[in-house]
Amino acid sequence: MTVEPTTPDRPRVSSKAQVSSAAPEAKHTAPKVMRDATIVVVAAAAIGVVSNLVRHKEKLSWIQATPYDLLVPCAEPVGQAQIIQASSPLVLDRTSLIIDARSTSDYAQWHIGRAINVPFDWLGPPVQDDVTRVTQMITRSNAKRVIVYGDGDNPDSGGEWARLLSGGGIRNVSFIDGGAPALRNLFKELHGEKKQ
Amino acid sequence: MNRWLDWRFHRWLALPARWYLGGLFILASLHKIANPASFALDVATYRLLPLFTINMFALVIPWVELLAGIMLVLGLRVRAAALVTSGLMAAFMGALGWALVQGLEMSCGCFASQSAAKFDPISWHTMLRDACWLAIGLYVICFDHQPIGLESMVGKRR
Repeated sequence: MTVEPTTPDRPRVSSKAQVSSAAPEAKHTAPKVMRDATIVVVAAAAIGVVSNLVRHKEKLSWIQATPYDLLVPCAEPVGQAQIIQASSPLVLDRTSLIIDARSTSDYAQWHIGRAINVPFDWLGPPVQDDVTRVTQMITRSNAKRVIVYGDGDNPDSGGEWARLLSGGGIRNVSFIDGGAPALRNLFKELHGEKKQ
Repeated sequence: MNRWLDWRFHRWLALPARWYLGGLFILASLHKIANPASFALDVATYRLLPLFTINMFALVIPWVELLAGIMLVLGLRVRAAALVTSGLMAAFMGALGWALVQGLEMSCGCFASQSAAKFDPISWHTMLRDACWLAIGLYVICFDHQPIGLESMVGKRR
C-alpha cells in the first residue's frame, strides 16, 4: 500500500512558494519602496538640473536674486460702494464730489469738468497712503456724496477706488456703471464733444 | 484584513486608478516644464518657501511629477511612484490649505499659471479634489502589491 504523505501539504507549500516568487515586492516592501521613491526624486532632480542647463529659452537662475512681483490681491480694507448709471442726476449735482480714477493722460483727453483726477494704478504700490490722502480731501470738501468713474473695464478702476474709499471710512460712495465711456457717450448725445 | 490586503483583484482595480493618477501628473507637469519661470511665480505666490529655494523647487518638482506619472502609467516601481505622488499631493494640500486660510485669491497653479486665477481660483473644493487624488495614491501604495504593467511583464518573461 502506497502512502502519499506529502499530498495534503502540497497546496500550502506551493502557495507560499507562489507568493514569494510572484510577488517579490510584497516582501520587505517599506524600505524598498522608500529607496525606490528616493531614487525617483533624485533622478528627477538631476533631469531638472540638466534640462535647465541645456535650455535656451526661459532659462531660470538657480537662486532668485530679487523678490517676485506678486499680483495676488492683498487683503485691503474695502467697503461697499453703490453703483449708479451715467444718466443719474447725482452726477451733475453740485454737492457731489466727482473723482476720475483713470490715468492722467486719459483724464487730459476728456473728463467731466469738476472731476478731480486721482489715478488708480492696478500694478502700483499699495494704495493705503492714497486712500488716506483722498479721504482727507473728501472730508475737507464738505461734499454730500462721492462719485467715482474709471475706465469702465472689467474690473473697473472706478469701482475699485470707490470700494477702497468706502473701506477708508467715507460714506455715500458710488461709482458709475460703464465708467468714462458711458459718461462720454451720454454727454456726446446731450451736448456734443464739449467739456462739461 | 490580510485576506482583504491579498485580494488578487486589487491589481485590476488599481490599474485604471494608476493610469488616471499617472496621466494627471504627466498633464500637470507639462506646462510647468515648458514654463519654469511661470511656475516659479506660482510657487512664490503661495509665500511659503524662502526666496532662494523657489527656483530650485520650480525646476525639480515638475520632473518629479513627470517621472512618477510615467512610472505609474507604465507600471514601473508602482508603489514607489505612488509614494512620490502621494507625498507631493500631501505637500500641495498643505500649501493650498495655508493659502486658503490666508485668504489669497489665486489659482492653485496645478494645471495652468496664475493667469488662470479668474477661471480656476483655489477653494475648499480644490482641497477635496486633491484629497481624492491622495486617496487614490494611498490605495495604490497599500493594495497594489502585484501591479500590472511593464515590470510584471518583463518579470514573467524572465
